[in-house]
Amino acid sequence: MQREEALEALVAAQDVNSRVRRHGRWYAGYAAVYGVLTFVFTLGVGLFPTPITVGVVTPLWVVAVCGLSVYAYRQPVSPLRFGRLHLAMIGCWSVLYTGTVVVGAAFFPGEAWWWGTGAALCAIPPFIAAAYAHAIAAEPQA
Amino acid sequence: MRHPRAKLDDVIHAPVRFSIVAALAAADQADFKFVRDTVEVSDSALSKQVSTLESAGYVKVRKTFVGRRPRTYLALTPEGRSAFDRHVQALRDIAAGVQEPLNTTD
Repeated sequence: MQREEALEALVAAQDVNSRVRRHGRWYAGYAAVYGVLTFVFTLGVGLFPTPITVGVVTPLWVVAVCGLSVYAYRQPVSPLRFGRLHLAMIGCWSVLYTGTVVVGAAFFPGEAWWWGTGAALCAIPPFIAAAYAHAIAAEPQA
Repeated sequence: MRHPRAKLDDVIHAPVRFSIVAALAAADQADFKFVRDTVEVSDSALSKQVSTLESAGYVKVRKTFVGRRPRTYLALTPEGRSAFDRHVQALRDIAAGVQEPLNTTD
């Protein structure tokens, strides 16, 4: 193999690599939407802890998560390190969400400072995952 | 001095297989049809090349359903990823005109 052929092969690999990475960008959008939804729903349930609010917000949250899951399942490309990234995001989110809701419901029902801070904290893991997914989609390789 | 072409991987070296592996190296897994369209080959050509890569232990194939539709996902194995990295490094060395000294054991 000559130098020119090697260069051509590297350029071709880079081109294919970039196209596939671009298709992996969907996870950045998915995680960003998850972050916004978790902020809104946590705040909604926390600031208005009535049975009606919980009864309305909980099914809406389930529908939204199901919709996001279907969207994710239909994507043709799982971005690089997707499994670990998603597990880390959901793991951190679960700990923060459970802590915010359990402690908040017991000690700070309807307290804006607690639920505002908690909702923002819950949204941090999805937003970090979104930023990371966006960065690896743009990261050059070959 | 040893030319870096000696480090090229024979399985990955074929142009279509190289493109397939380059596509899969950029993802955890990708849909068969997506890879077919990205590499611009027919279904049968892709199946044939994927079989070769699968036999070499470089690619794993996973079949599933999305709703009622069957879907086939392709992914690089850790061995396939390492082989691709070595192959790309050999290409970079060739492009850079690097020559390696022969080991005394060679």
